[in-house]
Amino acid sequence: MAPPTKTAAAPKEVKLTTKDTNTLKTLSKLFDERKYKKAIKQADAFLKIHPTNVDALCFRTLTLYGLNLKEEAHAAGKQVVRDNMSSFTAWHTLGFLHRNDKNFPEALKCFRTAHRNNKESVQILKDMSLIQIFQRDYPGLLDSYKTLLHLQPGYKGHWIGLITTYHLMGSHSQAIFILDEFINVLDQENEGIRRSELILYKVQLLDESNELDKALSLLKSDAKFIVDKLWAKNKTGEIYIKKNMLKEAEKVFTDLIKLNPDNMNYHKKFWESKGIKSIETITKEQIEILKPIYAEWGELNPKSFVIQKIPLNFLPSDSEGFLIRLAKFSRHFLVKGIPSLFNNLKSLYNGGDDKKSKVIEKFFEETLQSLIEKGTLVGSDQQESPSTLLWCRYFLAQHYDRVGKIKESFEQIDKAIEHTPTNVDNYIVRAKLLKHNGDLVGAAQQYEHARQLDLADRYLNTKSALYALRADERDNASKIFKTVIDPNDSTMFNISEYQCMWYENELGQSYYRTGDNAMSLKALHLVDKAFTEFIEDQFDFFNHMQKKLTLRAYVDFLRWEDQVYKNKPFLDAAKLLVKVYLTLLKKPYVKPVETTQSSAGVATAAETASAPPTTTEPTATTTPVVKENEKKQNNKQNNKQTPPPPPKKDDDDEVEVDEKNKVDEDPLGEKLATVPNLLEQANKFLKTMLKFNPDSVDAHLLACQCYLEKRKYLLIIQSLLKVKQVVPNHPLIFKNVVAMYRQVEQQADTTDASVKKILEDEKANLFDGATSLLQFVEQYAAKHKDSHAHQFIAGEQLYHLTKDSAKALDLIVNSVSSSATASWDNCRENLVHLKSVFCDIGKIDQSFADNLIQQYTEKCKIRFPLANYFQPPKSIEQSTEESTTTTTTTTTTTNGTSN
Amino acid sequence: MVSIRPCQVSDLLAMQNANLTCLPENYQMKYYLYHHLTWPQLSFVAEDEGNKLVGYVLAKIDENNPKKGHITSLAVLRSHRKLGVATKLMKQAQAALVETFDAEVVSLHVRKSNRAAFTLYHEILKFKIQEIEKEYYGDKEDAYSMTLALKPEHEMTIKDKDLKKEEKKPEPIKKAAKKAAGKKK
Repeated sequence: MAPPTKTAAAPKEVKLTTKDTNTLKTLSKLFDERKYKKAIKQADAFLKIHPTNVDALCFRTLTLYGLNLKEEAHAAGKQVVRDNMSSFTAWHTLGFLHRNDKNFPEALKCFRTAHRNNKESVQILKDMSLIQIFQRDYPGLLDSYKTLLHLQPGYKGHWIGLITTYHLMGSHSQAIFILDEFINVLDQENEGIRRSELILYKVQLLDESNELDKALSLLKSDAKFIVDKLWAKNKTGEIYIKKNMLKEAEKVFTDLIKLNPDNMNYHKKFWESKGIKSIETITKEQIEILKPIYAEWGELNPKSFVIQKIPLNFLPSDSEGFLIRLAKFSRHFLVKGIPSLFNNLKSLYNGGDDKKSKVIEKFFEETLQSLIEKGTLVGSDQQESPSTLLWCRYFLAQHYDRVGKIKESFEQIDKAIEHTPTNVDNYIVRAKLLKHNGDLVGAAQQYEHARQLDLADRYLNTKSALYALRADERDNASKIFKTVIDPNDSTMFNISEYQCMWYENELGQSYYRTGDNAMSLKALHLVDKAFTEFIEDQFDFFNHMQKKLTLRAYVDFLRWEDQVYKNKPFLDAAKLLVKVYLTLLKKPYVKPVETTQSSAGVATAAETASAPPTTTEPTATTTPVVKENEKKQNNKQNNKQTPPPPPKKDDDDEVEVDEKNKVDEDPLGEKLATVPNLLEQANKFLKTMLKFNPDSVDAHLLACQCYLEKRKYLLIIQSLLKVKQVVPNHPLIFKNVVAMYRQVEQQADTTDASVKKILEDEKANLFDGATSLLQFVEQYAAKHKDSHAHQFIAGEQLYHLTKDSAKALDLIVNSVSSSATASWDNCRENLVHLKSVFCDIGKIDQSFADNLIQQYTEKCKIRFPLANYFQPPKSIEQSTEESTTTTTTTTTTTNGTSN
Repeated sequence: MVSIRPCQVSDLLAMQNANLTCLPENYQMKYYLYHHLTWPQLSFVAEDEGNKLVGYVLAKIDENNPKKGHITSLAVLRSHRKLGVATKLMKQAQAALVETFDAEVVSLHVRKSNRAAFTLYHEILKFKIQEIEKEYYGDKEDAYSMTLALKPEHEMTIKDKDLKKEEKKPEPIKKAAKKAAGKKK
């Protein structure tokens, strides 16, 4: 790249000699080559002669930053700006520092000032536009691209930037107008894929702005240029449906189904073309329409499981066709030993009635009988291989598990195991059955057994680690996972580098369950970190797509990024993060006492969750291809314009610097757990959650807890109303109402009068007709006798109100046995709550607390005999022996209560 | 049932997760994004009826050879094996390579020890072994470099020798980390 002298607003005082200019050039070169130590020497020497030379001062600043002396760099950068307020180079440089620190708003401010001081600099505009797109500052971006296009009308990237900006702003017609201009000036030779992409992008623009006729005619007129024919065809069909041209749509989707009979979306669109909105609401007449079509397609596509399965979805359970289809469909799986039969039929169990599952049960029980007695399938004389019986039992075990017949499910899987002890899939299913019944320790052992049978199978390794985490065996999980990720070098393992979010989330949950809130925070923050990385990944693609012209994908990508926090891994982590922060608020972090067992657990886990100092900066390790491209682009761009580029990440010097600094400074999560503003931390995650999931019941309920801490009562009412809309009788609505009024009563003196007035007015509405808090609670307990969750919470609130321990104990403890709705995992959650919050904040009588926990546990133990959480801890050898011998016997007793 | 359809941006998180679950070569999200934004037409996913991603094929065009496709990664969850999902994913990717990029040949690497995958490529999809690449993988295992012609011989412009010139493979996380550690010493 060129030294800054070329374009710098030349310092007034001194004229530089040719030698000086050359020195600056060398300096620039050294900087580009990341020879920072040499560069800084040169800069210092130069500055001795020309102490006020802005370019040299800027190089020095950047070099300091390159040497990872960030504070010095910032101080220097600010000083240069202070002394040279009108120098765009100075502002541009300071902007770089902020950008590299990921302080994007500050960077943008600096770039703006730099631009004001030099309106002709393409480089400043380019750098500024990247931040503007990242920040979604569309009006600013529009200005930048307009100016850029004015300065460099021949540069394709600016055209593309302007077009996509108009698109993202919602100015589709402007985008189309400029796109047309751009297509006209494009070199039409050798532009195959690019031209095709631009045409299809225009189709998307027209489609989004509801210009359906224009979209269709473009698809037709430019068909010869379109190479992504699959997309074009699908889009054509979709537009036909939008225009209600159903005959035409039908033809398109029939053609597409011929190309790929397994694409479910084509089938759904095909049904739409036949006037069928959804298979769930299908009418008798519509069934008659589909029947012959799928009969024919079924013959033509024997290997398409989608086509073979669809009739089972739409045929009624009592039709003859259903049974015939079921027999045909499942035969293939049973005979060939394809393990996913249950997964393939699972959808038939959903919905209001259980008719289909009853037919399935009867059919497979008959099949089992026939295989046992004659070795044949129902209605056939053909002798099947013995493994068919195995797969039939394997299916039935899962079926019984699904419909709640616990005893039968274990019976079948145990017989399947007896039949073929070497079949890995049997153990996977048995582990699942144990898990569903709360025997998480047994499930983990069972999965480990499966894993041992095929150690090379990564899937088994991964899932075995998952099962270990669910059983809170974090050491085991970590051991398994380390061997999987890198068998040769286990110290290298660093989950956050892999962005392996399920592991981080499960680890966080496990720590929370076992009361280690600090480590839980640590693990969960890694999920948040991954999402920050996904957001920042955008920087790699703003320039990239201008070359590739894959604008449909690009716009989809930006829209995905806009919603990235909607994704489940983030939501899961955020929910628990808020919960943990709120728990820490009530029960501050205490440094763990070094007992032998717990410290061993923490140490290994800490090692797992932390970044070992040997690993490299993630950005430096991946996508070398992108980097190459970037480099090429940068090289091209840098030939012309102003100040030096920011220090590169993929640079040896810098990696070294980073390595030195990268020590896990918080191995136990202590720092995270002892921040002074726990509530603000919770609030931060809550805000993101609510912003992207405004209808999430869980998020609103967590919000209520935060608002309660902050005494924002009106916000609580608002959130509760939202929850009521979705789940009218959610037990936590009750809990929050009671908690709120209790708190207001306690803090009556300091609560705002107008707020009190509103709360008083809302009482009638929120108390369900009751006139006092106590009456409300008692009424509520009586009204929801059958619900475990409601009873539990009523008991808890009653205690807070009256301190009547006998009554509270009665409600809480009996909630386990008196209602059908209790499940082992709900009860486990409640017990965790009792232990960690209810009984552990010193506001409760100790003997009552002990009694409560002991009795609740006892009840759960009887009701859920397989669930280990309620069992007394036992040694590992003991539980290994038992899990294989006792599970089948204990299930016999469970069966009574669950059915 | 398993549905096979073109990949979208919103599939990539699940794709990364499936990759972590099934395969030893893992990449950061950025690489999946790069793949999708560069060749959005070429990758396909398999999902079950609950819209859970159970398999994927990640395909691309050789950076040095516009007529040559390459399969970066293919995975199907163990729970969905024997359904022909991998074959179907591959067929879709191959068709897209030909239709969109007029590709003449597609290549891939497979671990020498991975018999199941080798059988799929060799017996069912008719890939041929081009060469054995010594210590191709991070753990030093050898790879079969395999290719399949997508067009009849007389329409081919790519010569056999061009196929041997392997392009740089994407660097999985593990290897890159090791390299950096090596530098440190």
